[in-house]
Amino acid sequence: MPVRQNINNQDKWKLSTKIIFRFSFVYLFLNIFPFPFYYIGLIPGMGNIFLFIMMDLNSYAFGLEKTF
Amino acid sequence: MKPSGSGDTTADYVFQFVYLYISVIVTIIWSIIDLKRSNYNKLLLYTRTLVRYYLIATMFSYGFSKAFTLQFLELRNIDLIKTFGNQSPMGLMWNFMEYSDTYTKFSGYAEIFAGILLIFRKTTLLGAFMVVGVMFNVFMMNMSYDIPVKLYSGLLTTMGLFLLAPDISKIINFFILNKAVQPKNIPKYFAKKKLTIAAISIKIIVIGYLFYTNIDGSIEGEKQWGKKAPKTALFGIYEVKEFIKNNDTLPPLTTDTIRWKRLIVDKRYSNIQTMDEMFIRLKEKTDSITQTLNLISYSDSTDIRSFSYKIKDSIYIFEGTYNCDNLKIITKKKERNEFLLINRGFHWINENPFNR
Repeated sequence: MPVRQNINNQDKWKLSTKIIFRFSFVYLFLNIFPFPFYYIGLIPGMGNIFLFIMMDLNSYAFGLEKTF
Repeated sequence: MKPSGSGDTTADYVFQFVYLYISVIVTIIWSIIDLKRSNYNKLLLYTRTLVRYYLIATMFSYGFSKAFTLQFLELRNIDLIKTFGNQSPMGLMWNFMEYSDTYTKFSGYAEIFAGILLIFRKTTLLGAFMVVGVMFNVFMMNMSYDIPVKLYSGLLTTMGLFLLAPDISKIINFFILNKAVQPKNIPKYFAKKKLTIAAISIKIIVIGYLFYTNIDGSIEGEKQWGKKAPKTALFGIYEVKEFIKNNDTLPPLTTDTIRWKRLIVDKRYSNIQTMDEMFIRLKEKTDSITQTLNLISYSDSTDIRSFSYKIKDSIYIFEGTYNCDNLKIITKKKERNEFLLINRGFHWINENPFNR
């Protein structure tokens, strides 16, 4: 029996469960496959944008802008 | 960004902040465009599989490095010399683990066993419990002893909780409310037998590969830098009895910054401890045939202290020239088992606590 027939697709998840799952999925996926962020600078122009976001978040969140 | 060995750099925190930020944004967009979906059972199954295998690989990697005492090696000679108060919290914790092979291996076996339980879906719940228990303990050690793996150990604990989460009501019913719980439905991946055999074969290859690479790498690591790595001929601690500079014997004044107090030779590097309790870290090269010792500075490879040495019982005499000064250093080798920490050993029976 294929997995799609075995999984109960009649299940009704609560809205909060669905939101928690979506968040967990994205967060864990980013942590398991982080490499696109390390190599994002290879895309022309993206390196500066990403660095700006990092510096901006860094300075607001931690006040450690001098580190970069 | 150069890897520094720390998993808690500023950049790591920024990355985590970016991940959280992206996760919130994507969750909002996803929730708006996928409003009517009733469940994510299929995606949950695949995500759990991904997280399981990620944890299996990680638990094996950490577990085998502990089981072969590579993450925590053995106490170095310098660890036996350094005073307790001059250690960093991380150094203290590292020495605590390095003291006991038994406890280090036990910690490693717990991690390996947690990984093995995650291989099978029937034992995943128990494996997830173990991962949370083991990794939360690691996380608390990292938090308590300032070890820079706080983010990663926290992430691994979170992954264990993610595997537990779908069964949380069953766990509460079974462990707290004393209610009956239904067995979990574990769906087959494939209807066709051939596909099932292919999937099992791939699984065996992946798990076999993880076992092989970890065990083979650990055996090799043991030989290269672990307990089976060869020790240098002068491995040991040398207490300086006489320090003669240009035919002048220097008295052992605790303010002296030149006179040696000890020479400490370890497997990977060596230290000169001066009378003012400072340590000079040096690369050591010994030729036991010509009986010569070179101590090379890490910051300047041309800065070399060259000595010839003679051995008479436990007395080692080093003679050489450094900075135009003729040096003769008479030392006595101190054996490792002269330290209480090494010679005390294990006792089943203790009529009184031996707490010193």
